[in-house]
Amino acid sequence: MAQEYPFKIERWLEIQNKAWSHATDDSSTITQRATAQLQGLITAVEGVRQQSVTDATELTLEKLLDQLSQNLHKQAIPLLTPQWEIPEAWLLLLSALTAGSKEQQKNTDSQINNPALINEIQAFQHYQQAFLGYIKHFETINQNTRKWARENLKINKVAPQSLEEIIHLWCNRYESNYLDEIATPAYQKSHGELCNSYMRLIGLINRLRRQEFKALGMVSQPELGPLLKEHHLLRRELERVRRELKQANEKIDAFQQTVNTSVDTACSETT
Amino acid sequence: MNGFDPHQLAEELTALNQKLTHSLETLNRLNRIDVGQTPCHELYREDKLRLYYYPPDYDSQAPHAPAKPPILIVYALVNRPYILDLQPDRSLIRSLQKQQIPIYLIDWGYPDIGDRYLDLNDYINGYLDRCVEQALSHSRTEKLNLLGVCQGGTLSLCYTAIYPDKIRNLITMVTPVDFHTDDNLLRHLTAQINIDLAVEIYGNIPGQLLNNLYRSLMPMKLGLQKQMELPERLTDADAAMNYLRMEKWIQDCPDQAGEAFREFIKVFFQDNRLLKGPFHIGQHPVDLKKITHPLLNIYGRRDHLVPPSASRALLGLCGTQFYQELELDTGHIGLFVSRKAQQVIPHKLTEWLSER
Repeated sequence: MAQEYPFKIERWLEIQNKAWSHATDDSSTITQRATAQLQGLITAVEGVRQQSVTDATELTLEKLLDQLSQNLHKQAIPLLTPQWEIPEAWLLLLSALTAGSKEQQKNTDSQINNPALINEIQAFQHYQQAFLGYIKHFETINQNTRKWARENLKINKVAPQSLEEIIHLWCNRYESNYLDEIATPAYQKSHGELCNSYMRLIGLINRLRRQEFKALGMVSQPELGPLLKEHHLLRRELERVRRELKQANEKIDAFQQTVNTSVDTACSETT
Repeated sequence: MNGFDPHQLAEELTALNQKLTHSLETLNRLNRIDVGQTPCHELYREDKLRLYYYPPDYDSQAPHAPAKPPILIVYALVNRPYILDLQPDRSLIRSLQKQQIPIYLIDWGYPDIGDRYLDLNDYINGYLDRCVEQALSHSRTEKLNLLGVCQGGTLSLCYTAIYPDKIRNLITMVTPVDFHTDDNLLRHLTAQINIDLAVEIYGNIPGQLLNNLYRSLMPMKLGLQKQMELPERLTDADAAMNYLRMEKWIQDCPDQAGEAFREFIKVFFQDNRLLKGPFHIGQHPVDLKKITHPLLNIYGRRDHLVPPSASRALLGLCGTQFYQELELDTGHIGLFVSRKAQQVIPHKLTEWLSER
């Protein structure tokens, strides 16, 4: 039956992707995001299955787990790091800068003496180290999960009978290992270093951007800051004045009412 | 290890793909994702903030029953309040309406660059206080029942401590009080992040960044496992719409006003001031001992964002003699949308309020 598998899964997924984009706006954004990973998983599993059919070898649980753990781990990383990944264009630029500076030092034995550039290169290197340090935790988590799967699924009398079941077991164990890991000071330190080094780097990138904006006569964020603060204080003051005005109006109304009542009383007494 | 049947695997993949294809057909039949359908009207607006009024529903059970004392709901700054009215059959607001309770709901809106310098003083002593005044004036009552949700519960505790005379009863739902419990995953993840640097770099803290942070608390359950279940959830139009409404809400994280966020992290997450005793919001001292009002503290047993230990720390911190807890076997979101919560919370709230 495997040889008669009626279509190429890649083609099938491609068609689905096109179709998702025609779904209603709200739902397509959400579901496209959600299905991208599911489709990656399907492709990976189909790869193992096809390989086993082509080689006429047994499709062992171990082979499947190897492929799955690689794929699931690969998919877990983007779930955990997107907020700390610098845009690709900047990554390329900073990589080129770093490589260029190393090359210059190697060839001319001279030092770069532009402090801004040195800062940027150092910040980028620090970020790269922090990123690698952070990723290492996930390699440990993945290895531990893989080890658990080898040991437990092997000795388990009731081995998983379906792909869904394997993924379910794997994900639960991965998450449990992850939760243990994030409670450790080492993980928290790595996570903090990654976040902070990323933000420092973005700060330097913003500084470069500001120079470009300034050259084009555009207002930069630091220039806007004091204006925003002033606007905020004025807004607060305006609200205070508005309340005072309201209170004053209420007093006037109350006073006016008293006057009206007195006039009415006086009139009625006169008549 | 056991051998795995490639035929079986092929069949499973085929079935999964068939379900995915069926999901597409379902999605193509759907209209836009509609949330927050309970009729209401805007009572007050200021900057990005809106105060909505949901009149009691007299048509439901007892058409001539007198209106009950109103509730002002203070939602969190970090998400959107329509989770409380996600769809007609999963709406805490609608359920409370049916109990003839008039509801006022604060929608903080989406802060933009002009709100960068808003701080907790602006939110609590400014916006929140003015919403209370508006609700008091509109309902012609002297005191309000205040219901704080999640971070909104923390803000409500501060507000009630500062303005005790304006509040009749206080209800906190999934509210973090002790931010330093061992099982607080968010605290673990944010322990080493330099918040001053974050505000300096971003100005307002991007909602997407916070959303990613929440998701990274349970990357498998909220990521891969959920996606594996996607074809099942999109089997028919109703199920698909339920799923998409929730997804829409999850993705819908407003940016956070920089100063308010910095202050919240420092005061509560880092210094754990609710536990340590009096502190100030603006010029106003916050002393939880001033809260002598009846207090109902509702939390979810399986809450991963605000663990029960973080909420239950409220016991003994306030000056009240009338402290009560309601624990539900749900997670953080389940407390607003699960069937169990829909059945239990409105009745419990009505009963609890009627006793006071």
